Amino acid sequence: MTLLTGTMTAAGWLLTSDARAGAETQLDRYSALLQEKRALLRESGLLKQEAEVAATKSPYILFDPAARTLEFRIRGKTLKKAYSFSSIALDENGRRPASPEQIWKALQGPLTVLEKQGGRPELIPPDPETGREAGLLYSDPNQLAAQTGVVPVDTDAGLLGVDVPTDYHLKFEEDVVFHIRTAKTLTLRQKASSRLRDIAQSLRLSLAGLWGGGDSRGSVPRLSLYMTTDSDTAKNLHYSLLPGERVFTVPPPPPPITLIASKGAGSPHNGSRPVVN
Amino acid sequence: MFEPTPPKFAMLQRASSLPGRIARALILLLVSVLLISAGLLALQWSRDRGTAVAEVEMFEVPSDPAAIESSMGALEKEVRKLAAANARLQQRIHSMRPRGTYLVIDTGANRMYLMKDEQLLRDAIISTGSGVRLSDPDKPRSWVFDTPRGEFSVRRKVNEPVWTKPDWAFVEAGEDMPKRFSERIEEGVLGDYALDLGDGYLIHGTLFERALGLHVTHGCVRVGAKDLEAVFKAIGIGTKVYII
Repeated sequence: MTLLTGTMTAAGWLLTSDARAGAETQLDRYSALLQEKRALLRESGLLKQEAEVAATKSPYILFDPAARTLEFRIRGKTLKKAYSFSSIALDENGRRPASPEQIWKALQGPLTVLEKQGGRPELIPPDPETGREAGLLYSDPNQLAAQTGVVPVDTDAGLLGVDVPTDYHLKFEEDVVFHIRTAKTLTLRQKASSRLRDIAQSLRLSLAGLWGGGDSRGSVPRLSLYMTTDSDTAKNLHYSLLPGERVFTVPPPPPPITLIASKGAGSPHNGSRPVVN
Repeated sequence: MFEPTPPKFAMLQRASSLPGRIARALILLLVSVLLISAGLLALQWSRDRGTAVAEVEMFEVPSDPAAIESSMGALEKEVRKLAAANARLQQRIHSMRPRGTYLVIDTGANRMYLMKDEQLLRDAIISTGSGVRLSDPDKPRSWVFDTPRGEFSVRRKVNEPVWTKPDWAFVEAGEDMPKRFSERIEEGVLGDYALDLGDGYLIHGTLFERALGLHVTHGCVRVGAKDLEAVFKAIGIGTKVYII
């Protein structure tokens, strides 16, 4: 029988490496079981949410950060081929890949689409004298371009031709933002300017933290994911998503944990109780 | 031989000459920039590191191996129970999947698929909603031209459908609202067939086949003549239509 030794902390005993070495197999098994339980609990949450929506007529979206895909489902069936991303990162240029830990924490519950950038361009009824002769129902194509960042599609007269942006953001009610990006080759100047922007953003967040505003939801989203894909996929996704649609996240493998030896003889349930969140 | 040292005054004069002052200012500026940059990088590094450290969760474990063993037994039981419950939930979701003949409309790709269980029977290029908003300049009302999403079913099958123009068609065209109902009727614009999905949304034909594949409609689904005929003949009233 191996006796565990450790260092006393406010939360209990932090197991030292010697103690870990002595009881490696037992603790590893214990830790693996805990992780399995965490993964199953999260999976259970996702399945319950999915079962609830699948019982209705509503569509929903499944986001798999590990596979870097989004897929559209109704009644539990994937009806749309998955949209795949070449990278999912935590900053504009993919320098900080999105860690499963951050996603694990930020995307526990379903997300509801609140707003898509460049959505809902306004159609202005034409001047009866000029609009129809020009073959466009938009009385001012420049206004359309200003709203969506793109030009009207050239179609037959009387058709509502409109394109969508390829670089845009999707805001969710839960204070999460997905930035959809298309891969671009940046010039040295653009790289330098983007690096400066990253540093400025970092400084802003750090200062917000110093002033106790690190958690202020108003200015800093809970999670910003930068997802890079090709322009067709970006456009299709823009057309496919409507405000109010729900996105569920496939849980990534649970992030690593630290085991703390409790002071008293552990009850069977002690092991599953997180001490620090 | 005695070499006179330059007077202190001359040294001071040289150091405070204009080029000297500029050089000193530049060095000072460079050092400041380097210090600020180092500070910013350190802040960023500490922020990244802080995030990583804050993420680690801690779990209590009994301190004596016998207690761990007994705790593990309970954990194993919980894990088995959870796995079984999840398998049941998966089965429940699986049982809700569409079966038989149904239509899938992909609004992102502007494609329609006629399916029988898992088998693809026909693939067609279509047109769906433009997503634009139109406001009535005379009344406080507006329309958004999206194709609705979700599960629908075919309520009616119509041969040689006739379009009853809704209010938005007149607002969009910059025309006055008609006084008589007959002024709203327009023949031959919806193709040979229409499948009614309810709430004014139809799957119908089009005069503008070259716009198939584009997001150009007011919410209806436009299909080419050949594909529409094939789909119209293959499905019946009540057939499910899944729009995503």
